[in-house]
Amino acid sequence: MRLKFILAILVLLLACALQFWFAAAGVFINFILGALIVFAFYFDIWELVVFVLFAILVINWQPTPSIDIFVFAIIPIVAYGFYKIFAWTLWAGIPVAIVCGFFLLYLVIAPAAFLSDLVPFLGDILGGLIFGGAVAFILK
Amino acid sequence: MGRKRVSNDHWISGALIIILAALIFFVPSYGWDLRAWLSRTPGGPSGQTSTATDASSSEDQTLAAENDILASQLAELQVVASELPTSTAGEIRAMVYSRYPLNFRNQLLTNAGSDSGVASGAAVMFQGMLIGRVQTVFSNTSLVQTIFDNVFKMPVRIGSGGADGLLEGGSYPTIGSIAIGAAVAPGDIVYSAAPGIPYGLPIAQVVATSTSADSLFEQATLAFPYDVNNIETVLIMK
Repeated sequence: MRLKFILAILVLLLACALQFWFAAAGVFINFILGALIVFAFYFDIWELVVFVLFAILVINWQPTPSIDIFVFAIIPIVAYGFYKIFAWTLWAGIPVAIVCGFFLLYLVIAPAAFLSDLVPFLGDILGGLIFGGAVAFILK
Repeated sequence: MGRKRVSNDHWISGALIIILAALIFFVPSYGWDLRAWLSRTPGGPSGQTSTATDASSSEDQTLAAENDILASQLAELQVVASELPTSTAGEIRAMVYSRYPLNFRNQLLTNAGSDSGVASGAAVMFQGMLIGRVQTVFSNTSLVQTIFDNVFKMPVRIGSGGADGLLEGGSYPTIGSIAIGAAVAPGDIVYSAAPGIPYGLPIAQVVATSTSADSLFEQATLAFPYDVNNIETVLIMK
């Protein structure tokens, strides 16, 4: 396997740890989703599916599948599809994909909560953009 | 040469996909274990550190919880002494396996399920305080919806006057639908008054009251003597 693949696994583990540590402090930032969306710009579909499944294994909180996890998993795949179709440049495509991906996540899973209070959403996006930028820099 | 390497990479990816999918669907506990390991802070287990400050904070939380329990018991005795349950319900001690990973819900997965006698709707306690109820029961695990979940709602009573209210969950749970003029004051204990859950379980303490936006009811903000994000074990009532 390529070195970049191993590096991405380490980044994903770091994203998981950061997400759980922040969550324990009551701050929810989707570091994992941010990392997966960035991975969509650097890996082929099979490797991306491996990362997505690994993330699901770690974050799935109950024995049965849920719509939340399904949406979470499909967003990086959709980002990959858009990247391949529209051939975005990385510097523009990654931020746009993160913002759109997070927006889609909130819109599908909790539209009412999302519309009533935008602060958690904006904080989540900001955290995702910063972390996503760092991941893109590492994988460059 | 390069083509062969790409082909090998695809075979490895395919094998990893099959292994991960099998783990997700058949042995999700490996994921929970990995998550528990990743959740550990550098200073110690998740939610716990070895510093004296945190130990003191934990002790404060326990004392505050005990204080709320005593206040709740006093309120019960003053209002509904004749309605107190005469028998002590059995409890199942359960460990928190996993938590909802995003910020849209507040759910815990515990390691006690129908095999241990857990029933859907059962009250879930932490340090003597009601923190939620069982939402879904599996054979070896059960999913708990905490009072910090956005869609959690439960009828409650408040203080020694026994004023009725509706607990509305969220990151900062509140009590709504309190009748205007009801005897509710900061410091009053909020306790359960919902069907299917033992009466009088302490939930929180009133911090402040105000009038609702439509001026039809009063509402109350609450304080909790624990941090739901750091709960490791719970008691599920049978």
